[in-house]
Amino acid sequence: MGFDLDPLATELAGHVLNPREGSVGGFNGTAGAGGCGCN
Amino acid sequence: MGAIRLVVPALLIAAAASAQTATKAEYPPGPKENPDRFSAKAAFYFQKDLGGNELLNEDAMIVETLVVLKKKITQNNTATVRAMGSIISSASYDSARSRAILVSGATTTINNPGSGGLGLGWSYSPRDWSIGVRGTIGFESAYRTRGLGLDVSRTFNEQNTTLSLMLQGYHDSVRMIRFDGTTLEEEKRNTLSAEAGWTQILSPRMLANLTLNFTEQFGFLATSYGFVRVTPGQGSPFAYEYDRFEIAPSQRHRGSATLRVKRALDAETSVEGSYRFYADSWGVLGNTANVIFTRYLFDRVMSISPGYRFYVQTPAWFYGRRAKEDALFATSDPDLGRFFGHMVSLNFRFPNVRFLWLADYDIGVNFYHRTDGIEMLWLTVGFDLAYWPK
Repeated sequence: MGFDLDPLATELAGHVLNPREGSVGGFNGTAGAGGCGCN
Repeated sequence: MGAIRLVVPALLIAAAASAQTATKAEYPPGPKENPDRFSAKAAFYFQKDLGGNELLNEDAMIVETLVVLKKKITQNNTATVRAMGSIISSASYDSARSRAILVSGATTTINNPGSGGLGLGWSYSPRDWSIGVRGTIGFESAYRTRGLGLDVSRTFNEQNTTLSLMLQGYHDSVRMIRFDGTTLEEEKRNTLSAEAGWTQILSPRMLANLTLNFTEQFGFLATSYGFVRVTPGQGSPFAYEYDRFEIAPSQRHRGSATLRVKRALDAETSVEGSYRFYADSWGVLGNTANVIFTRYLFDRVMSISPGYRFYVQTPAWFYGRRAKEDALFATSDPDLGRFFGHMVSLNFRFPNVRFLWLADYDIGVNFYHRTDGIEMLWLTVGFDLAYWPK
């Protein structure tokens, strides 16, 4: 048993919310501190 | 598997994947442990601004794809290549462009080609250890990033305990194209992150993880084309409200702690709960609670995972819909404001299906409502090849 049945789908979903709620990242999964183009 | 994914760093996934090989953890089955892997995912993301801040239009649409190739080179060495690309259609870009033309008459160089990135990683896993390094590059229209990361993890206690440590650094360049068309010299943004994880199999049916993260950022941390509306004070030369650049402090200390617990109810069913606390030096406090239920159906032909996620945050101390004229720092970015968030998700996974290829296929839908007037809907589809294509 593991936490994520689908780690990649997990990661992709994380691109949407995480950088907007205090995590480091952007829509670009490889990005750094949030070049998030959505704002 | 659902919304809990939203707080899970990559290292945790790796740690959890290691943990699931432990003899004690039996039910239900977790992710496959293919040493070689070819996966592709796509996300279709729609954001609607229902008028939380009348000065901003946060409508956006994004199509993002992510492809991962993972290949075991020798017994202990694995290489990974990741590529991603996205097309972004965002009202704020368009607004910045049109405002620049309106305000200054300048022909702004803001354009919107989307974003892309490439990552290369290598991991060495002798016995109970795993050591990985990775390098990344990425771009958005006004933004470039280069990153380096190091992961170390070790399993103990017959693989029932996994401890991990991740160090990550980014060096970013931000093109200073302002909302009014002004173009200044490029600014830098640096990010250093450290993360420690502890994954513990508590019983054959129960798994827990604690992850602590600390991130330090310095440099230009605002959005280059963001603006705030200023209310003139007494004695101001301005008679009416006017706009100026968003200005953020040049440092940000950020920390978070995440606890996840997953329990199998039977051989086909699991439930997972998590809580995350976040705080930073800008005054943002975030709390996230998450629950997700997963069940295999039809003799494991598919799994279904409904989830719910709750989020609440306090605003940054310099956030406001209007800024005072003498304010040193000011932002109207709703992501730095006060809001609650409710998200529901429903994901389906079909393992070992011969459709285009013999692969695991997945499809999911997520809806997120924020009390500040922003709503998001996104769909994900993808596959993981069970084997490398011959």
